[in-house]
Amino acid sequence: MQSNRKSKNRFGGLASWLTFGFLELICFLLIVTQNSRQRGIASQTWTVYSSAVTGKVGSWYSIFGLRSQLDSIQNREAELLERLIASSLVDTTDLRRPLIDSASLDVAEQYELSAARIVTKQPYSRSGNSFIINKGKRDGLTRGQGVVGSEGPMGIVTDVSNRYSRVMSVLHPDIQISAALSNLEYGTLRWGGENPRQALLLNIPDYVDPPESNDTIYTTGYSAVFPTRMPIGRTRSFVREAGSGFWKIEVSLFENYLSTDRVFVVNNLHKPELDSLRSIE
Amino acid sequence: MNSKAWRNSLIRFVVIWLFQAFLFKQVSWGPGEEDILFVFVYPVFILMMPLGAFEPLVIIGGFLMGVAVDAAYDTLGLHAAAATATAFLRPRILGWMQPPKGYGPKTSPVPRDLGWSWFASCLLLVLVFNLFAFFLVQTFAPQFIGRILLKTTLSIIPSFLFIILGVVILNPRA
Repeated sequence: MQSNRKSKNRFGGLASWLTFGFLELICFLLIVTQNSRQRGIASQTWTVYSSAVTGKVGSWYSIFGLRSQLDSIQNREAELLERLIASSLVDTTDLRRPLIDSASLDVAEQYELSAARIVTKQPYSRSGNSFIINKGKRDGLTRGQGVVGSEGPMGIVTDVSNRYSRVMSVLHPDIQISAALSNLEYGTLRWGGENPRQALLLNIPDYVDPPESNDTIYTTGYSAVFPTRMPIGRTRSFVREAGSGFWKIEVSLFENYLSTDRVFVVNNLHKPELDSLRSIE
Repeated sequence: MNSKAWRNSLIRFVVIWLFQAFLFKQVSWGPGEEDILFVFVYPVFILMMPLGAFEPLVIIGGFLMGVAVDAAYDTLGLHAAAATATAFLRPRILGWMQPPKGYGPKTSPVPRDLGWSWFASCLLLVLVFNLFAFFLVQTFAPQFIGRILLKTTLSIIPSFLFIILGVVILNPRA
């Protein structure tokens, strides 16, 4: 009688499996928490397998990342070549061509761009952002130099160490960039603190014609930090600020500050000359 | 009968544990810094639990024995894991070793009822499985399979002999 039951059900029923599974789980937890040797092996095994997974995922990410980085570098290169050609042709109808060039200065001679990579970025913050690039004093960087991305200004160098530099991002309320509409009316571009893809163009007097919507905003280069006539963004909306006498213009920025990690440091070769004249005032 | 068999199992639990914790714990040997020969007599408790017992109860019994041995050896979880697995496998071993007539309703898993050859074979299977499982979780790395097998083989011999000696002396009825 008993033998029948046993041969039918040698591994016991569900109850046996559940008891077995539950108790073995307890045992396993006890083993890896109460025994140093087993805990060590368990955590090492976990590390090996999880880092293998992370590594694989990371390499996929970097493959995709590299492609888009290469794309942007190539775009940038193309743009630079375009500018060089344009400046050598001295075409005054091209608005994207540097203005200073019309005074017979060659952009390629005035602005030197050197490629750099962002090595440290703090998490995006509404109170102001900065990042660190892999070029420093030994690469000839100094405080106050502009840093641009492929699509527009990125920030200004605030601190320089031997190998690295800290750059205050355009997404920082302390940064003001001299920027102009395509009709050459110029004001100050400042980050609003809300959206990482938007900024405000302030200090354009309200007696000038209302700006066109979707008008491109360019750097003026008046501060000698950023190259002249570099596109920054497009106007989104504008209102006359009551009582202030100025337009308040919302700008969509071209540059995606949160994803870019390749930048160019601007070296304005005429800056000492300009600074010496400016200090006379 | 059933309650008597369980009472006997309870006594065996205590006696076997005392022997394991206070006598056989002292006996371990190895040529290097790590011991490779141990005497583990507690698996016989799992084998000798009543034949018709509710299986989850047998598994819990094995687990408790393992935890008790772990408490003495300061290896919390290792013997418990091996003993639980052995108790789970016991019905399968009993099925393999089933006599031609099957197990009678009044049969106990002792040599007096089922003979020495039956008992010795079952005991060997239980020991092989229990010790292998124990050394596997003790090493905690299947790569050292050679060392696990060496420890299992070396430990089975004295464990088997000491258990047989104890059963011969006591010759339990149930």
